Amino acid sequence: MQLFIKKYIKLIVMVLAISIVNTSCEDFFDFKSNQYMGADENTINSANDTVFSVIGILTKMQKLSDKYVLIGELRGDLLATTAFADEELKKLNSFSTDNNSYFSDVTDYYAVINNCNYFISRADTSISVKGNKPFIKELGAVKSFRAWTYLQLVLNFGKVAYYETPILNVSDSEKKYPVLNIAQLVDTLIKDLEPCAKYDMPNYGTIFTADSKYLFLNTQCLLGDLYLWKAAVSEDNYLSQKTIYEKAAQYYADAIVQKKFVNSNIDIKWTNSAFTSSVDSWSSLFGQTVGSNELISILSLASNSYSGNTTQLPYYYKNAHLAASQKLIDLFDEQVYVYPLSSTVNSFTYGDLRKKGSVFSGSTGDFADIPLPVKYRYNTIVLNRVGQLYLRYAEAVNRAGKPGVAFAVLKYGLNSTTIADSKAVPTNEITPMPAYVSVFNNAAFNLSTGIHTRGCGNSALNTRFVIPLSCTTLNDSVTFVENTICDEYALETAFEGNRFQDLMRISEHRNDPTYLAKKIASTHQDESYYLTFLSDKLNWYLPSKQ
Amino acid sequence: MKMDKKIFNELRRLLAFIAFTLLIMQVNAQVSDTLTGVVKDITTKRIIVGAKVYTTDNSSVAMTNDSGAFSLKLSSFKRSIVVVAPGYNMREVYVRKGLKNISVNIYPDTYSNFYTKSLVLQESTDKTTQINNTNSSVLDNRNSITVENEIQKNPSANIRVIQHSGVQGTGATMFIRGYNSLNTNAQPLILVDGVVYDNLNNWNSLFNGNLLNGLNCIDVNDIESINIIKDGVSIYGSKAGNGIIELRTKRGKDMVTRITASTMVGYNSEPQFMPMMNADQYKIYLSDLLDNNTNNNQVTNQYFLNDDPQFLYYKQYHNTTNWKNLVYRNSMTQSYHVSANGGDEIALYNLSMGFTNAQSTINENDMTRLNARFNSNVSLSDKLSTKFDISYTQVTRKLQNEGIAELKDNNVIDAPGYLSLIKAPFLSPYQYSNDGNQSAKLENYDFIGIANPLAIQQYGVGNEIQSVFNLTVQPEYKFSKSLTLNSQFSYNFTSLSENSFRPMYGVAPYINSYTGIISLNQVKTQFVNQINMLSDTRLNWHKTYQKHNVNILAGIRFIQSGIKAEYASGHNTGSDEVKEMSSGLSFKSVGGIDDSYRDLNYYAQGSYSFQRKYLIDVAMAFESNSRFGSQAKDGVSLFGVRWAAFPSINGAWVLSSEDFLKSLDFINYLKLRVGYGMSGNDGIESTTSRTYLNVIKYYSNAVGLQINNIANPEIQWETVTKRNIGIDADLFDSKLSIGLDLYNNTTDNLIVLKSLKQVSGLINYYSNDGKLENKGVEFNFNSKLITLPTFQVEAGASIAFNSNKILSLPDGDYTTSVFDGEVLTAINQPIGQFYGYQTRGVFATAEAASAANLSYRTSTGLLIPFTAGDVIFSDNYPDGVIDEKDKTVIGNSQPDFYGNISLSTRYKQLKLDVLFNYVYGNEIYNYLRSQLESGSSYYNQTSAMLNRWRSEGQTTEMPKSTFSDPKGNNRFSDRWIEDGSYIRLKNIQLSYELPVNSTYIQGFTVWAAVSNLITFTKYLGVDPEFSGSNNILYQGIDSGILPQSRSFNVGLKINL
Repeated sequence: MQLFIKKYIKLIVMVLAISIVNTSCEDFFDFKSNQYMGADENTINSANDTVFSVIGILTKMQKLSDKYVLIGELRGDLLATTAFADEELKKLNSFSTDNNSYFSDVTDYYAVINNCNYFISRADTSISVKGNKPFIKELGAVKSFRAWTYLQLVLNFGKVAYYETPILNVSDSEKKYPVLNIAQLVDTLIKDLEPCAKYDMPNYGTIFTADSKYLFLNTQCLLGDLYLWKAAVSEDNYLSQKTIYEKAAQYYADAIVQKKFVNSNIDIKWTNSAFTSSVDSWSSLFGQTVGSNELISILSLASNSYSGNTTQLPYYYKNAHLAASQKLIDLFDEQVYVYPLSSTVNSFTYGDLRKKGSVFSGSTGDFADIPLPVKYRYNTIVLNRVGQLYLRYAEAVNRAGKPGVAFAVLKYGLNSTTIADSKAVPTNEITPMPAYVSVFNNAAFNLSTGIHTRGCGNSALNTRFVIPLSCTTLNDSVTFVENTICDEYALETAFEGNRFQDLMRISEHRNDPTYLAKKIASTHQDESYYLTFLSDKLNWYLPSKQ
Repeated sequence: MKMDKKIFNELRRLLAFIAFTLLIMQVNAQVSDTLTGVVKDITTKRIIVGAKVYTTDNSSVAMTNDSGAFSLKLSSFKRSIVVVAPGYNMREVYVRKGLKNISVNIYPDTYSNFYTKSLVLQESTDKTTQINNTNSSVLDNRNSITVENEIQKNPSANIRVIQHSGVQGTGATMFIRGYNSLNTNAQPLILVDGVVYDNLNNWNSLFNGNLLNGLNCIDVNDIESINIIKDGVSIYGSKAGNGIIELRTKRGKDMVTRITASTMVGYNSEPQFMPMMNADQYKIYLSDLLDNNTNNNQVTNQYFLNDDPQFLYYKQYHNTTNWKNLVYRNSMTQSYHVSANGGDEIALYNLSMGFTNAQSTINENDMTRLNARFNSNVSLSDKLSTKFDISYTQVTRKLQNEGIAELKDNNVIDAPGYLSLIKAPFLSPYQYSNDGNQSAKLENYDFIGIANPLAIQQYGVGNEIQSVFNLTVQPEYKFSKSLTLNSQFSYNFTSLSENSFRPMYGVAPYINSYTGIISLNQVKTQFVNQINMLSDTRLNWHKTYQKHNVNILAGIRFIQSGIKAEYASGHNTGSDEVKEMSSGLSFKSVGGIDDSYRDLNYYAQGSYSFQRKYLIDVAMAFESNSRFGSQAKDGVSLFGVRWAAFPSINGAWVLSSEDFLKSLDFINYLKLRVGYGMSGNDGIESTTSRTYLNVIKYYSNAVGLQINNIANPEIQWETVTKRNIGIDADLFDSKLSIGLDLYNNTTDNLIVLKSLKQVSGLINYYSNDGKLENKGVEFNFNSKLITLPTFQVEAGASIAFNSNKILSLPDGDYTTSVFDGEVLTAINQPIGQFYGYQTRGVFATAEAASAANLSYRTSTGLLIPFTAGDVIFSDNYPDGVIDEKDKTVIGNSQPDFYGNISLSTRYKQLKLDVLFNYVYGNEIYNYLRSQLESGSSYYNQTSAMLNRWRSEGQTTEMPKSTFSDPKGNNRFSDRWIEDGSYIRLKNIQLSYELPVNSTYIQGFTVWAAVSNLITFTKYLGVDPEFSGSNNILYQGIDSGILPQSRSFNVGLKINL
């Protein structure tokens, strides 16, 4: 017993010492858990930190997929709800979304923005390895995510609370941040993004099933969009607007040239003059995540929630919540298809074959005859692709005062042959030849064809697909070409999430809200109500609790 | 500190009153007089030899001589004497001036004791707060295997104990004075020998319906006393907002070596459930459902409809199986305990070991406990002594899922108990061979995908191993008679591991197209390790100056607690022979927790009493905790961190010591207590005050880092303010004692989840906002009715009213969905109200239905009318549409009052104890019944469903059965809300002390007890007492977990 007691006298002394010595305080209570990474512990200065932070942002981007598509399309004139649709979808379609709705919630957008802000503020881009700055690409990529997200916010909600310093505590989140309108935001974003235009995108190889090069946004495309919007909402005179449109066209052209985005061989065409059999190399692009020449940027989602974030679109497709509008069906159906029989004789029929790749009406049972949007079958949301890029380019070039060049993009495709052919590209429009046209004088584009060719046969030979002679003034031509581009947007990119914004932008080009109002009102039963309602630009935007 | 101004004024008035009283008391010169007296046993009226009699300040001590007499010097202001004798209750007596001779009757310790002791605050009866105590003489020879059962048996209504379920060792939800918190832990602090004991409230079991319970690692036989402390708990700072349960374990008493052996065996009877439909009735029900189910491929063309005995599958589909009998059982309990108590001049010790095995009333479910404890008191010198305690317990449990899982989408129904209710009675548990004989091989899952519960019990795994190791050293140094330094260091290691396996055979494959999971079988496993360290050092100075008695205590308490846990699950082991986690499993999911906190508390308490009539305690604790935000709102900045301050002041006036009550001789002791104090609740998620990134899955194996939380540096403890006024009275020579308490407690700075501004990109954050209150009355009395030498009767009763109300909420009222129902949290309303639809029967005819013109809205916005056979919902918002707007309060899970009734009689060596528990005025949401009377699924239903609406004109309360219930007849409504009041004969026990006269055997007791013998209730479920969760919003929701059942126990105890 004595020995036993002696042994732990030491222990008692130790205990007393521990009890009395008070090694206060700040560090004493500062506990670090190994479960999380404290925001202060992350400096983003190693390759791993960078990659994981960027993937974190990609994951947040995934959450925007359904909002992007549905807000962009359900309010437009190409997509409608069916009797099976959830009430939320119906409300979105009828412009009666309230500010408690899923679609009005901007949290997911700001989740992207705040994670980007955090990355941008912490990423150590000054680190240089063998003379290279390895993280500069990520910085560009993250800035473009942020810019894209802000742009979506402002286009969907009309205004946006803007901040660049990450919100890292509750009191920051309650600050009043400056609220920008479209014009202000676009200027801010251009300033932020332009220095990054020259950086290439990061490449992480294949992430699960998707080639990571598609997972990033193309900064040049985005800058093209920003300039296009800048010009559209600019109140400047025609000349300075024209310069801005040219700037947009230049960025689009840069993107096309740099990545050799060629429009060729992606189409749906009849293989005989009787129009009984066809081949399709177009509709497959929507499910692709690797090895595509068409894709520029996508959101790749998981096929089930176990694997990651998912999209509801395949569910809506399967359960017939959504359907193509009659207007879109009519538009497809009234297109003239040209099948060249010989070098001089052509066979004509009606109908754009891209309808086959966009709309499926073969359901039976409850869903019989509902024209289902086929593009929603996949877990991939296309943000940018070559067809759309060429149309945007055409939109910019047209507004830059070159409707002939713009129309050539649809009808012939730009390459050294068509540029040299005054029947295809009017000589007066390319004298002097601007850089954004001359770049197509490049062997890489030799096989490039018109976008309209993708679903309407050889449109170069289509005598009904021309700028009519009735267009006597430049203005007439610009307006006609813009109308054609607007229809081509529908034929080529229906359901992909751009429609409402495209209509908004074209209305802004024309400074005529009724352009959008008419298009959309015509798809609703209560046409006159929607005509009045949408003629007020304020009603273009969703309510929100920003 | 934010202090209620009114209360502050009240306190000031009280202080002024006390000071004034002190002034007017004439300070007389000290006159010492001698008191002589005898001490007697009240029952036998015999004198007691060797009783210790002393003044409360220990200045004068005497022992009774051979004739039971003593002589003690008293001064004019030390007039309270204490009498203690082995085997008897302590008694305190105030000796009025002039009294020279006294006869003190004391009660055997088999009676309850009015004069209790607790070490938490001070070892003295000079208490300004009420402490209820259950001591070892009551705890011995009991049929409980875990402590919370004994806490429930305390006759005073000072704590509401709700047993979680009938699963052995699963513990109880306990509330002291109502719900003191809204979103964080509302369970009391548990102290075992002064050490904070983690009751695993914040960690979930793998098994649905099972709650972890730290207390099942404590052997009831090791408990010396249980104290419930409701107020005056400020020195425990932010840990004591919900009150304290203080347990003390047995220690060495004296140098005589005592060996005690006890054993108990018990029998628990199978629970009785609501009657279910029999095979024929169920067949008709199934056919009924088929009539109105367009999507019934599952059931059509099935063999149960073919009644041709020659049919190949006739036997398989024509049984009358009572699944309940196959799954549930009558079970056994056994417990053995040995302890040795003794020592020498240097050390006293108590060594004990125990073994307990308790089976639940469902197959493959039990608990086995092995425990050992060594407590010692060592005196190293006159001044230095120490306690040295070491204990280890291991509890192994066999478990399975219980009841209905709340999130059905992600779960297969694999709770054998629930399956035994819903399983088709015409099916057989065993396969039939081709020649038509029943084989020993279990059947697979059935034609409607319902699992075979026996297969789950046979091939499945459900294990839990919990172990607790504790080492406590508590040295004490006496500098002088009045100054003592006491330090306590404790190391506590808790580990818990669980693993479960759902077999593939007997359970239908689970396929979820949304998550992509295809599950044939599933393995789950978790490990939790927790290390708690405590160091508590206090300096105690005690001095008596004539009439003034001062006690000052100051201490530092430091707690460090760290929990590490890992969780993993996976599917598809390929074979039911492989039941463990491995890398090859599909759809693996893993998780972990690494969470630690530190808590530093400086506390001080000053007690002063004047003439032992006027008592005042002032206490203060300063606490900092790593969970507090760096800018905690109410905190004081010091040394770079925020400190919380918890003051309290309690006063008492011992009226019975006043001369003006001299004439009222029947009053032995009368004390008025007033108290005001603050404590807190530190149940803050440790991540709340931090901004951090977490790892998320991008796609399959690709991971990313994202901001998951932004800090709220202002987060702080919840502040619990307790106000109490009470009376303790001991009357008629201690034959009647009464306790009455009124309290009004408020909790400010409730930890609530608030919405973040959307610009933050995150959804919500924890913040302090909102307020709630609990006010109530507690009353208990105890009467020692008969005190004859051979016949003794003692009766007691208690009642407690608590009214709980939310006073403010940051974002207004809201509801929380629980088990397909909703619970309302609203300002000026109590917590835990059920919020749903009211019903007024069932439409008997189409005409009645169309006259009512009610409809409901589908998810696509269509309006569909209710028709004949549908439930008539009250259109409280009269728009003809039954929707959200028609919901209203339909029940409250909190009772109006509750309490106990106890009766104890003793005839010679025979003792009979009876205890009733009762609860009145609470409602229960019978979720189990809502599934068993839904008429919307292929599950077997209760026989009440025979009365379902089946034809035009039929008047009934039970709506028609419709597959998947498109009209929502079974929505959360008052159909499922039932009166939860009950009175239960909780325990009845008969014990007999054998008159032994041997040098080897000191005592021999045999006893028999029955628990839960009778329950009077209107509740339609099996048992109105259950608690599936410690979360206050989940109280009163019966999800069909194993009910408690009747148990019969016999035991014996031998003292050597």
